[in-house]
Amino acid sequence: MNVDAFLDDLRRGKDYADQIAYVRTVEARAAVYARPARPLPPEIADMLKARGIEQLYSHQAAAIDKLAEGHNVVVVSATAGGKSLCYQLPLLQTLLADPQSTALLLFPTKALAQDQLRSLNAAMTGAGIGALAGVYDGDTPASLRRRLRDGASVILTNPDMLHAAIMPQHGRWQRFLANLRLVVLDELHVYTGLLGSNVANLMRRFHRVCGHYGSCPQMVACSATVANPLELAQRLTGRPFELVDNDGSPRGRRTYVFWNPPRLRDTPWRSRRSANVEAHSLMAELIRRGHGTITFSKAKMTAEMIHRYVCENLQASDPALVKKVTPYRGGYEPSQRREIEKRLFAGELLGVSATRALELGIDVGSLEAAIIVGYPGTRVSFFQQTGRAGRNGRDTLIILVGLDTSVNQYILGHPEYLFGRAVEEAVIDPDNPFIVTGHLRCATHELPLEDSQRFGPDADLALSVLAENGKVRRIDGQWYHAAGETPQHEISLRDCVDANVLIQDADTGAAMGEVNRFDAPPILHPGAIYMHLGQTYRVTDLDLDRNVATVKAVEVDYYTDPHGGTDVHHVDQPLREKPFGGGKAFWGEVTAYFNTYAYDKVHFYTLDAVSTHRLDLPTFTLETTALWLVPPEQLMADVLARGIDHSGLMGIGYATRMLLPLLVTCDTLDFSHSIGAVNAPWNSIFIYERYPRGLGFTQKAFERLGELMPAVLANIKACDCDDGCPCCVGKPLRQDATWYYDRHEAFIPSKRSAIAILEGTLAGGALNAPAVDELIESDEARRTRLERMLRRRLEQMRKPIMFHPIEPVIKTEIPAPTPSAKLKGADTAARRLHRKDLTRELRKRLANKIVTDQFDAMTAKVSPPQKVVKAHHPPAGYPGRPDVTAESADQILPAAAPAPPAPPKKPIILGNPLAAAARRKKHKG
Amino acid sequence: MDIKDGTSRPAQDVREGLIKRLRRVAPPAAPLSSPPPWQSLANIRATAGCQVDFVAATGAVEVQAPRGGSAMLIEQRLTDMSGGWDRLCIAFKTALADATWHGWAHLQGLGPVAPEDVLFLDLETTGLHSTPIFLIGVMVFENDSLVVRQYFARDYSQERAILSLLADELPSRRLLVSFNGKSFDVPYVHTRSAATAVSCRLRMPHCDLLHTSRRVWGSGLPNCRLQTLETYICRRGAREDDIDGSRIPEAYHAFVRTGNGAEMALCVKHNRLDLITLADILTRLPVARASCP
Repeated sequence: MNVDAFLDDLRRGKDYADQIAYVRTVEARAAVYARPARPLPPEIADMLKARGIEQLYSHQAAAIDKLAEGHNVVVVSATAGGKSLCYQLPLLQTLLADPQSTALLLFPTKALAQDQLRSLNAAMTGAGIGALAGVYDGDTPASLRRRLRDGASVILTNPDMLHAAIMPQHGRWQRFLANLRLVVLDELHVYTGLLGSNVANLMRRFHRVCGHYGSCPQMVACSATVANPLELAQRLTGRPFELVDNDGSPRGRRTYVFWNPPRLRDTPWRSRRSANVEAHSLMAELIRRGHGTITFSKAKMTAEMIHRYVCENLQASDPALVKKVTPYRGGYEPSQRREIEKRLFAGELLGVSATRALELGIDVGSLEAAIIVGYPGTRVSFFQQTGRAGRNGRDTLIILVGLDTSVNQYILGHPEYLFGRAVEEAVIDPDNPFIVTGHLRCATHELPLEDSQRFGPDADLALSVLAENGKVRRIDGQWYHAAGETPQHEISLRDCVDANVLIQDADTGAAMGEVNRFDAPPILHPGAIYMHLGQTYRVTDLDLDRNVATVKAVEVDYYTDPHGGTDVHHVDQPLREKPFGGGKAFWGEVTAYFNTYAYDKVHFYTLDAVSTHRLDLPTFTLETTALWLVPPEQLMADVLARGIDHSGLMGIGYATRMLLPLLVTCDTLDFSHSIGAVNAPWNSIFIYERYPRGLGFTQKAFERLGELMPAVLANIKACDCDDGCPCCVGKPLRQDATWYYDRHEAFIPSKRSAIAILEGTLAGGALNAPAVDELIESDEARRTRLERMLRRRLEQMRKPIMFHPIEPVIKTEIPAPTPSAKLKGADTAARRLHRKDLTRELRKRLANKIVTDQFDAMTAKVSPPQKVVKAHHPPAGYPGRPDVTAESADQILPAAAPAPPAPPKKPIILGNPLAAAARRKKHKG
Repeated sequence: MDIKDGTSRPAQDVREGLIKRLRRVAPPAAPLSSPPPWQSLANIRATAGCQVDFVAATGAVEVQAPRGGSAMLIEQRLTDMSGGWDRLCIAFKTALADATWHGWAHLQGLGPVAPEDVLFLDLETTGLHSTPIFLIGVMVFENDSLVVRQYFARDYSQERAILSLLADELPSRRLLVSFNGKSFDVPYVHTRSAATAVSCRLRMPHCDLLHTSRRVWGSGLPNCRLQTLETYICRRGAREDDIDGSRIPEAYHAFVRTGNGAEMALCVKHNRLDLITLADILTRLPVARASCP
């Protein structure tokens, strides 16, 4: 396509209002070729010739050489840079030399595996190798599974399948595992954060099982975009690696355009035209001109929405084109996704509105343009998404449509950030005891475990807690799995929660998808509008006991926007402390809680909030790690004396969280922020992770705080709003959420206040304090604390949960929830009966779960489940537990709960009176 | 007899075959109608829910496995047990002398099959998918009597030992008889021996009585589960003091945790009855059908 002409047309258009903020052209680059040190076997050379490949790129040759020398290799090259050949050629060589040998190829998504199988089969046929290769995933039919298990030389699968299907039955895979020579880990950059930490543990288990069968496969890892490939590969697999990064692939001319939607009003919030609306008109225009376009947006909802807008737009001008546009996102049935991929590849489709589900290296054919709605959060994602267009060296247009958020506006204003620096570092924490605990259960199930040290320093502790719960048992120095369930089926690699909520269509009974339990309340609260394949559904019921959300198809003109509250309740243990400027910075363990308390109905297109509705959903607690910053007390008084309020604290938290993804590979949604906690100074600014015990993001941020906070200050200052807007210091909260009213949380935090506090703090002293004072905590104390946390977590796991397999399958036999008897005000008899039923049901469940010898103790006191309660307070006996007065206890505990042991009557003496007043107010609210 | 008269061709075949065989095998006495009394059963019943010593309840002895480790062995000769099982031993011997068996054995490339060549196999496991085996029951013919040998692992670590003890039983046997062994027991043993690094391969000819029974009686029965066959074909009443098959894995985990042998004793009995029923079914296969096993 002629990019320049298209841009000129846009500029001349009647709707154009200076949206183009920046244009960057990356000129075409020529290829660099090299020859492997040892010539390729004639079969492979012929195959390459037949495919029109005369020479190998420099990085491909280097990878082949290093592998031949026996190293593990990590390859980094541009998207569409021929990474597949880096492992396909050595794989073919191995198969030629030893037909018995096998190889395992791991891809993060199913679609990628299918795509790779096509290209691998072509290569094998070309080289005259008759070995069997196949995709082994949730969609593979049972007959083919057996054939692959017994006879395949190459298995393409994903880590989830390796975890849940291959590992539990490794005895059946004896032939395959014993002959394993090569393991490929493609799209390495995906394995960060939670998934990465889980996969690292999966690899520990996998190597153990391979060792049992006497094999020690070589490993190849590939990625287009990651700052620390070598470190990541080594941490993920526990093996030494060699880096190959002399990228020799050519590429076409690429034009990057930054598109900032025009300002419509002068209000600080939602002042710009919707990015979705801007993106859809760009996409419709490109499609009208016959250019294949892919649009990425961040949420499933927006992908569906843009598709809807584009269809309506095209319907008016070219109705024939409507059929050539489709949405694509996770959560569709696999067959639907395969169908869309096939049509896309065949060129039948001109436009696809996708989420990042389509981001990874699938060859989507000849797309000429990519529209990215909203900066995807990381440079890794951004370049992956742009890589989807222009795969065969053609001229390509990439448009980034900015959202009205701080990161987006920052990037539109600082293009050098995207193009000037290396991509982010990937962070994983394989030794997180919560993650390790799950994998230890799996490991003992697979083989008796002797060397628990393989699973990190806390493995022994986790094993002893598991033994208490009857999950494992130590016999003759070895740990054995000692429970009936298959733990691999209870532990998901992608969620930190142990259960998923199934979305079920009330009319057809069909399963429409799954959401993890933790994310369910914001998306699937009763009354929420859920979008699926362009159709709108209303959630009629969210049953968190059965883990089923029931939805009903409705035609509405609005979507819903949930209001969630989350807050650090108390600090469990500060682990590190350092002076920071004039104040202090901490990193440590905290307990937070989450609640979805209301939602808005918002009109499509106009984005007017129609109404706000209250919700009554249970609160989730989370024990995690946090970074917190305490500005000096004197500064707070000074700021007040200058006539500025303290709302800027919240603003600093918001701004920091928004800029964190610039330092580590994470999403702003991996974090939350709040101010103050029951046992921390009232003015501490908390940034905490939304995963149990964190994944190391905040630790990294704590180490680089001296870099981070000045950038935050600069960003707030650079914003051209008057006194605070969502682009710099935060979103306004609704009237419903006036929790910390006295701290002005109900308004957009004051920008002046944020600047004053941050400047004061930063100016007060050195930012990079030379010595990081690690708080010395005895091993004993740490052990006890960790043990308690693990116990609480396992206790939660005992709750009756319904497990759904990884792939949504149609389950029509799920019984409809029996309508619970409506309780009348004074009908105590009915209430007693109801409670009896509940108790009986609970007993039944407990009897299935809990062994006879513990049964009596457990059933002696079964009471109906109580909401919240536990969530608000640290466990009894916890040293930092605030004293609960009789009055406040009444407010916290529902009337039905047994009276707590009489707490000592002492007034709350934490923080300052203002904070105490706020806390009381919150409990009342 | 619950099979309906003359409704279908196979049912009629079955009926005729059965009558023939019954006449030959047990002409004078009434068919076995009650389960064999079990000496310690009364005790187990009386003490259900209390701590029961596994060894005392089952008469198990400790044996050393050939390649290290030890396990429990419960060994009983059918002729020593009360309940008229000696008749079964005779019937088993007679059945193997039958021409039909010789024809089948010939097809399998075996010579004539002597009673001593046959190995009955039944496993009890801690789950359905590659979880440890804890009880391997085998039944063989020795000194004019069927002998049940049950190898029991007191905890998960003894699985290696019972698998290697099974491997030791194999060399002198030429024919394996099981119920649904082709798709469960044999692959399971192979999977577990891979996982425990014991070499135990069941490569001999295999007669899976599930498939045979389905062919012979399938159309006339509500289903072809072993206990159904036991009721309709062997004409024994419902088992007393039986443990539900789905309860077994959990019961074993509880046994390892608490050492209470009550449920395990029932489990051992369950396994033994399964083995006996296997032999019983084998003797009751109709003669007239060619290549019936």
